[in-house]
This record gives sequence, C-alpha cells and structure tokens, in this order.
Amino acid sequence: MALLDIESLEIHYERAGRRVETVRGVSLAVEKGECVGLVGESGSGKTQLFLASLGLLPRDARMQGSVRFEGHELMGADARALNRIRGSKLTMIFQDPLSALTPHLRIGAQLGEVLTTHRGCSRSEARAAALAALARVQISEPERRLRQYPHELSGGQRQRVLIAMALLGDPCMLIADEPTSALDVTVQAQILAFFETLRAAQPLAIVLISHDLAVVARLAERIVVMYAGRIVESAPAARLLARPRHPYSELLVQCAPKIGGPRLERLPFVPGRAPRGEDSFVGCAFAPRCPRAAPRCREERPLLETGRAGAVACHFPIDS
Amino acid sequence: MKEGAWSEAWTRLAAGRVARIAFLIMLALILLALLGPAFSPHASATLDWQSVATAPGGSSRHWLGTDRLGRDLFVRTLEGARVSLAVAAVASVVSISIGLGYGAVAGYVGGHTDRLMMRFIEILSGLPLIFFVIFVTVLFGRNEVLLFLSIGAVGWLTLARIVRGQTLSVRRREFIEAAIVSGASGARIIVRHVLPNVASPAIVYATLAIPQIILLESFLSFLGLGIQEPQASLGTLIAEGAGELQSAPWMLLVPGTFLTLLLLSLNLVGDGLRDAFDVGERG
Repeated sequence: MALLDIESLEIHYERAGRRVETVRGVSLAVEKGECVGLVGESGSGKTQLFLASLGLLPRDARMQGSVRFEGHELMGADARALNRIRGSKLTMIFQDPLSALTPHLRIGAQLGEVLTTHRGCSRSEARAAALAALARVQISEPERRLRQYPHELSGGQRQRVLIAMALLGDPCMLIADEPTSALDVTVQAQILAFFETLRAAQPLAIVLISHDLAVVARLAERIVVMYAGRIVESAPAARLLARPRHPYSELLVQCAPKIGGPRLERLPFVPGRAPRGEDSFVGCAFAPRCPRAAPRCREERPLLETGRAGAVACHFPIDS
Repeated sequence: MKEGAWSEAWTRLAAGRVARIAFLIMLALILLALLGPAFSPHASATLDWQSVATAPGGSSRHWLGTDRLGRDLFVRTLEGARVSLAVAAVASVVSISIGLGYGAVAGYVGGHTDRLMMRFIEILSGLPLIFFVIFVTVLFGRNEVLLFLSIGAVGWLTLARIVRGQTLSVRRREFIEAAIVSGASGARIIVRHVLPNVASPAIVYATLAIPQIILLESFLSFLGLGIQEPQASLGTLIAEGAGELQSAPWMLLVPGTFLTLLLLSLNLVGDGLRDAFDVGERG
C-alpha cells in the first residue's frame, strides 16, 4: 500500500458561471520514503493537488476522486480527523517563509504550538523540543531564535524554522511547495543539502513541488510532469532528465540551463502560453504548443500509458 | 502584533501634539472624577440649606456652586462622571468581547455560517436599538448593571463587522494555512493567530465608541431612563440643569463642560490612536 494514494482526483471551480478546472483527473501514488518531484508551469495544478490532500482548498472547490493517506480517506474527512494527520504524519512547507509564519508570535511560541497540540507537551518540554528542532535544522544561535519574531530572521532562517516546525510532529511525509523559490541560490543550495541529509537519516517521503527542474533533479527519485491539470509523464528522475519521452518534458529539460554546456545566444523556451483552467480540450492539451503535434493529437486525448520505465501520455512519444 | 509595534504606536501617539494633550486632559479628567470628591469638604448627598442654588465664585463655600437642593455641584459632577465612566467601561468591555468573538467566528468560519451571522447583524442594526435599551429598562426596572449591559449589547454590531472584515483578509494569509497544516484546531487558530491581528482596529474602535456610549447613557438618563436619584450621571445632571437654564445656568454649564471636555479628549485620543496604528505591516 502506498503511503499517499491519489486516485482520479478532479478539482474544479464555478467562477462567474464558468467551469474552471485545475486538476483534471490525476492518479499518483507516493511510497514510503520516496522522493517525488512534481514539475509543471504555473497553473498546471501541481499545488492544487496537494492542497486538496490537506483539506486546504477554498470552500467553493468541487472535488472528485479519492486521496488516501496510510489507507485513510482524506477526501471529505472532517477537520477533526484531518487535524490528527496534519502536522503530525503529513505536513507541508510553503513557498514564502515569511507569510507562512504568524507575524506576532515568537518563533518559540509557534514551534511550541505544534507540540502542545499534537503531543500534549508541557511548556518546558515544548521549549526544549523546539530548541532541539532548531538545532536540527542547523540554524545559527537557536537559543536566540526562539525569542525572535519572524520579521527579525533572514529568508533562509525562516525557511529553516518552517522546516523545523514541519519536522516537529515527526512526519512520514513532507510536501514542499516551492520550498526554495523565494530564496537566493546559495541559501537554496543549503536547504536542498539539508533535505538530502534529512532523507539519509530517516525514511521521509518528500513531495517536492517546483517549476525548477534543477531543484527537483537534485533530490527526486521520480519526476512527475504535469500539464494543464494532468500528468503527462512520470518516470525515474535520471531517465526523465536524460531521455524524456513526452515532448513537453523534453522542452522543459532543454530549457533548464546547463553549467558547462555551450554558451547560448538565447535561452530556449516553450513557445505559446500555458492553458488556463477555463480552457477545454478535445485532444491533447499540449498539442497547440507541441512541435510534434499531428492531426490525431487535436482530436483524441492521449491516455497515460504505463510502460517499463514510467508512464507517458502522448500519441507519439519520443523514442518509440 | 510584533514586538515594538505597541511601543511604536505609543511613540506615534505621543508624537501627535493634539493627541498628547488630549490624552493628558483625558487622564486628568478621569483622575479628577476618581479622586476629586475626596478633596472636597462636601458630600454629594448633603443638602446645604444655607446656600441653595448659589452661583460658583470665590465668596461661596461651594467652588462650582450648588443645585436647587443645595448639593455641591463640584462633587456631584465628578460622581456623575464616575458613573458615566463606569457605564462606558462596562459597556465597551461587553461590546468589544461580543464584537471580537462574533466577528472573528463569522469571518473565520465563513460560508453559510458567516452569511447567517451577518444577516442577523443586519436585522439588529435595522431595529432602532435605542428602543431595545428602553424596552429592557422598562421591562426589568431601572437597574444600573442591566443598563450597562444593555448598552454594551447594542454597541457591538459595528465592531463585529470591522473584525469580520479584518478576519477575512487575515484568513487568506499563508500563516493561517500553515497553522491549519500544523494541525491546529479552528478555535485555536482564531484565538492565537487571528485575533491578535485584528486587535489594533478593535482598540481604536473602542476609544471612539466610549464617547458614544457615554453620550448614549447621558441621553437615556436625560430621558429619565438611566441613573436614578440620588445617584447622578452627567446625563441626569445636564437634564436637571437644562430645567434651570434661566435661573441657574451653572447647573447646566458645569456638568455640560465636563462632558464636552471628556468627549472631546476621548475622541481626539481615538483619532490619534487610529493614526498611530494605521501604519500597515512593517518589517
């Protein structure tokens, strides 16, 4: 049994009488201890997928399908049931570490809150555990940080605090939504390195949501590429980066700048614009931008077909 | 509220000269109301038949004159102010508690609950609330505590709306999502993460509401529905004085001036506070 099992999840909204689809039928399983990278453009539904898993979608979101965590159905579960899982076994860290910390609470109080909620710790126990958690994420001067407010910390320190907070409940799965996008490159490298050591120390499943293939490539064992609310390719990271099969994945890989590669006059990019939630498609959603598109692509939607090394949703996958 | 925000707000409040002077006047008036009567040789209920309705002046034993029954107007005004301030304190505590709780819950829970709660407020604000207070007074007799509570119970509507609006914007912020993800319950999120963020508008509203409450109490007392003899509030004193306007104008002027000064200083302090807090998010 997979740790997290998302099955044919669909999410849509009714906005001003129009149907806006953000996730159009996604099945995804994350195994214990696995690190999955989820890549896609803005609006591809990658964040929605996991917000839905945690019960964080806006009230007017309409959902179908199922999300099971350790066999427990999360879809439609009440807040009480979700709160037993959220913050302890399944947790999430956000893109912007400043806005994800409550501005008027000291770091120590915010960390302590998780413990008093889930463990019923006393204040002094919570303080000691918060201190240990800060030390664990290799923050400088952890003692002092406990007494500080979020705005007094640097971006990297805040992200470390968020990670420390996420790890307090001793989770078996961590969803990281663009965890390094708001940070500069050196801090980004430190955080990624920390994730690596973390995974080496304990079996923690990580879902790394990012638009940055370089970030995902460093950590993920498997990469899932989403486009217009659907998975277009899912494959072991090394294989996908070396030999992408979906034309969209190929373009993404080509777009990632390579150090030591030939010097380019212009950076490559994927032409056209990403489809929006209001758009509906008969055929393949990527067909309008696809260099390999054939008439069939516009008429018939390719299904995600699982092969020996991963799955791809394309009528004419590369290398076939 | 971040560390330093309170002290910063205080600094800004003190920096505004008008607000600073108003704050000092307000403090002086409150202290005078609390301590003043103790320094006067007269008691508020003592009738001085030798000097009935004497005008204020150096020759009189009564600094600010006496009323028709020879009661010392200085002492009576200050004791009346005490009552008015007590009404304001109790009523604003009541209305702030209800307003904060109601607004935060409506804003945080949202959806149908929010719609229902807000419709309820709209219905209440559609009713002439002064009649509610009068109705309660008539029904349960003239009871001071009841008067305090009923004024407070009608004063929370605006604050609940303000707090709801603030909550709506706070609840969309990411730290609320982060708190949900960390498994905190709704009640905990409201108390720990939402309310402190809506505290400053609530404080400002309270300082601006206190003068309104004092005015409302004075109005009710003026109508004869508030405080009962021999007790006085600023409102009853003004009502009494208004009847003697031609023969003894000081009976209106003394409590009237006190009330005007009190309201003016409270309003200016409220304005100053609003400016002091109205700085958005810094840092």
